[in-house]
Amino acid sequence: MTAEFTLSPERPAEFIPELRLVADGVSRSFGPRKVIRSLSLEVASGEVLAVRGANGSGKSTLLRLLAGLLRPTGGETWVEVRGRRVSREQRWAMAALAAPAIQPYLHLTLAENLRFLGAARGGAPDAGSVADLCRLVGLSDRRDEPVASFSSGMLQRVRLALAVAARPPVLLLDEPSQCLDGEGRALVAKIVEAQRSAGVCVIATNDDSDAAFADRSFVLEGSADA
Amino acid sequence: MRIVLGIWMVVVVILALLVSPPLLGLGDAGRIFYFHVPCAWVSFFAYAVAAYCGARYLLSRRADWDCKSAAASQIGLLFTVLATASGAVWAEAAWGQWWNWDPRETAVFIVLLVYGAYFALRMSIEQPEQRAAISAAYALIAIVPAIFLIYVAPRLVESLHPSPVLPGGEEKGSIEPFIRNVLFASLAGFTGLFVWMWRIQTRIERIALGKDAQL
Amino acid sequence: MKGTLRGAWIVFLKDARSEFRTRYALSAILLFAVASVALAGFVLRGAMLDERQAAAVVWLIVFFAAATGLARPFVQEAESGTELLLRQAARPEAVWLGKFAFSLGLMAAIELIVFPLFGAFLGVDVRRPGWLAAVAAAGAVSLSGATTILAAMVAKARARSSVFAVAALPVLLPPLVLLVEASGPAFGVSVGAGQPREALLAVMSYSGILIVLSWFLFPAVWEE
Repeated sequence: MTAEFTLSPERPAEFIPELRLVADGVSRSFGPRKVIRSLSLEVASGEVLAVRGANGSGKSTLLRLLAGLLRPTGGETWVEVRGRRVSREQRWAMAALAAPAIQPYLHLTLAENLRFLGAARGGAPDAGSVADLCRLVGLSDRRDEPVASFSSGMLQRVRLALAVAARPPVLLLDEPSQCLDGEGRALVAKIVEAQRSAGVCVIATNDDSDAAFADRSFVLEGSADA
Repeated sequence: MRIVLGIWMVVVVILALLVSPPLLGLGDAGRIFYFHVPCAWVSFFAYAVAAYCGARYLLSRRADWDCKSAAASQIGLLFTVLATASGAVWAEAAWGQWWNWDPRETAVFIVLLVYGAYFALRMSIEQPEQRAAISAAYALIAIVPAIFLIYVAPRLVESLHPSPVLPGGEEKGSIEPFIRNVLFASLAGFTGLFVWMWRIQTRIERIALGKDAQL
Repeated sequence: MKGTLRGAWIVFLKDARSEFRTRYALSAILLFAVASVALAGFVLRGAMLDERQAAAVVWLIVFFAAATGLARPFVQEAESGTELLLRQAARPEAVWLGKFAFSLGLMAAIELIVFPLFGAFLGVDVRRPGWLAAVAAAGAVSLSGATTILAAMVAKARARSSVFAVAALPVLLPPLVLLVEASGPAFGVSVGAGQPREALLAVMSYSGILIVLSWFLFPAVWEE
């Protein structure tokens, strides 16, 4: 893998040194309901952070904020490389989120879903990398079947494949082991470990074994009605 | 301010209904001119205000701008209905028919449709931030058909409407200074009425936004 | 810009592939179109339609078919939960452009069915097919260009399909009126009646303005 990197959105690098994912006093309300209150955190290259909290405490919301997929109503989140903030474009290219709310395209096959994501984000994925990804998540034999026929466990593996397909320096996993069997959990462990040499990883979970992958935890207090 | 506005409007009404000479060969029915034209003006003005506040919301993302935009739209809708109704009364008196599909009538009708669509869209989106952004975007998009119908359509088609009565309320061609002055006074009064009502409605919107939590 | 164009193309292809497999939107639209034309043909049989009336009927049918189907590109994403995936896959501008292209494809399908069937069922002569094609193309661009952002708005609402028709009506009424005006010469011979060329130009400028405005407003609607 090349040590040289560029921050062009077309081709996110495989490893970015001195990367930091930062949230500074970030809040998010939905109308008068404050889900995230003035929260600050930081994750640096090679680190894995677990975000824990009761249901409704805003774990998914926080992950979307960190991914840049949700606009904060207060404060900011950003990604820094060597002390300099990256642009919105670049940040979009650098982050990927796997969450239960994200469905793949049911009428496309697994391979087509992966190719779609890769091609749209930049850089046509070659057949080899699609095959590698399918092998990684243990779905090689189902690559050319429409995703509609997959079980919930398989769908979760598809979500993981889609998230790592873009080789994002910033990987965000929301309940990654949901619906997964023992082999599936081993896959999550493998992905998280691999991410250490690619950038940062944030896991939102209530599952103790998922949280065990992380170097440290961040707990979101209470649920929204406080 | 309320008091000044109240007195102003009373004076305008007296001038329009009692003091002004009969208008446009319609006898007393023509006096509706002093109310119809300002209502039409306010309906377009209110829409412009709503669109402006929507744009400000999109730039700043502060909920207060959305409250102002929604409030302006609601008052605007009211005045549009009044303009359409008074226009129909005038049409009946002048040409014997309640509705003629002439371009200006159609333009006001389209503005009514735009407001209707705006509210239908607003009421169907639950999340306040999304609702605000989408309402603002719709208000801005709908400016295009509104402008088109107000300025372009009449020029493409022959019109029955007293020509040319621009929505700004000014009438070209010769009219007595007195009538013109009363009309301007009425315009000013109605605009003041709009501003007053708009501010009240904005306060209501702010409270309603706060109340969302209790549902 | 290049990235946006490529992204748009990929989005378009994805939609086209999905549609080809399910044929969901196409069937709904085409069924509606065929039924409407057949109904019109039956009810109006024998009636001699002048060019204005013929144009009005055909564009009415096209409008309602569009109102039935053009919300689909975005409503589909919301209903199947793929929105977040799409937002990660492509930039907002690319999404808009790709969906616009797909809507344009749906419009082309509508018109390719409605116009010939209309001619056949209602016995209307098409005197100037080249002109009709130009007007139809302008109409397709106009209707799909204006509704792409509306579809995105409506995808975030409940009661989506009815809100779409309501929201689209005021925005599509002006170009429809103009398209009827512009189509006149294609169905009849009266020279000098109305201003079809001006009407066509007006449609094009209206669409152009709306499309540019949509381009700028789309991110505000699409992003959260």
